[in-house]
Amino acid sequence: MLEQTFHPASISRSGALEGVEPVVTPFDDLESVVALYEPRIFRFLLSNLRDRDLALSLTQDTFLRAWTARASFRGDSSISTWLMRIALNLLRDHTRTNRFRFWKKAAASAVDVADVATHIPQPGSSAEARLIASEQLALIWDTVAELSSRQREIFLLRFVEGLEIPDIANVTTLPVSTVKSHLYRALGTIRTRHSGLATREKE
Amino acid sequence: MPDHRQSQLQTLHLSHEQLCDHLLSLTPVSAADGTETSVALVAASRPTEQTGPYLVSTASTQTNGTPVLLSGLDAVTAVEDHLRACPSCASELNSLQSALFDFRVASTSFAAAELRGLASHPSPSQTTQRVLLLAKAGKPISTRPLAWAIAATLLVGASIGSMVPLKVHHSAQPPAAAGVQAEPTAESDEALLEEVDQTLSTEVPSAMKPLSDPLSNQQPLASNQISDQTTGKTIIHE
Repeated sequence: MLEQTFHPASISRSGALEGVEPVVTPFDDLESVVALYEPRIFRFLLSNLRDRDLALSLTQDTFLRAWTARASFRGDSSISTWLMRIALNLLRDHTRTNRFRFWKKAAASAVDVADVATHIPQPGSSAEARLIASEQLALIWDTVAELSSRQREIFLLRFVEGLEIPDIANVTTLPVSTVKSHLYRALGTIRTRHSGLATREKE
Repeated sequence: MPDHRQSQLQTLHLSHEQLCDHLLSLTPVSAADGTETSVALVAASRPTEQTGPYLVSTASTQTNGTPVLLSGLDAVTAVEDHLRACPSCASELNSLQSALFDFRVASTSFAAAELRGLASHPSPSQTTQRVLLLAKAGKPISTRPLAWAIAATLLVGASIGSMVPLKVHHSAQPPAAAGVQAEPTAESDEALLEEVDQTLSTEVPSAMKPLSDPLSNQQPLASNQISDQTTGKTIIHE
């Protein structure tokens, strides 16, 4: 499980209901939480939504919701897992409607895979190798977009966020076996497409 | 190692689940504290053809009688043994791992660059202040684009709505007027037909009454008189 690394000195007491003992949570030092976890939450939302502005808005909404619900954080899971769960719920709320799909198509801040491909690590690789890497990235990018929302979430949590399967189960509130099943299916789709591309490249 | 066992290891390929499990076991996980993963750290684990875990060795027949399907650690060993013996599986896994690695590194690096480059991206302290202010106001941030979208939709709808009546006024009025005229016409037609029916139903129309009994209002002619029907004059033959 992911561990939270908060220095006790950075934790203050949150104002709670009058007459009730204030609950100490790591989110009382919100600035530290934002500084530590914002890049990750933004990345997860961006890789799912593929829209810069929307990802940023939902990232800030994640911290807003975490702040307002901080009293319910009991430390059973790590801060990262808790935040990721909030982000995932916001993501699901937002992508559930057809309205999102319509606006997504028209979004000016939509991410282009060509922009992402410029970030492929290419230490000393040939032009042909770079081209193949770009094609493979585009293939995975397109395939991920075609996965079911649940498969996509789980795939990205594992292969972009690098979460262990029990952590993914915690974030998605799904059984471990279900998480693995979704991962197998997502990888099956990617593997099929990837094999096809590899065959064409050999030809 | 028995020949048939070695032959089985070389001909049977990994199942999809075996391949996935092995791939998952080799995919690097994020930092223990769940914070931002260093791109450089991930990049350090990049699989290459020279150093990758699926390097196909020419002396890769060291299966030592390991069963194909085992559980736990033995299963992992069996898969690794198979990968050494099977260039096809090793090549596919190596290529897939490399592609997934590139996808992760590119996504991570791109998101970090985007977050830094976004003009609207505030610093953590600004974000914190913003979140605290919105928490007091009780308004989620993501509703603002939605609000703009709704406002834009209403604006477009209102402008279309204001144009539609104008178009109807110009283009649809003649048919509407024709419709208004059509009803009296139909009524008048029906009235005319009824009038015709009534007229026909009468035994003898007033205009035809002279024909019905031409002798009724005439004096009887003499035998030498012939009535010229065209002129109505009486011609006397001598």
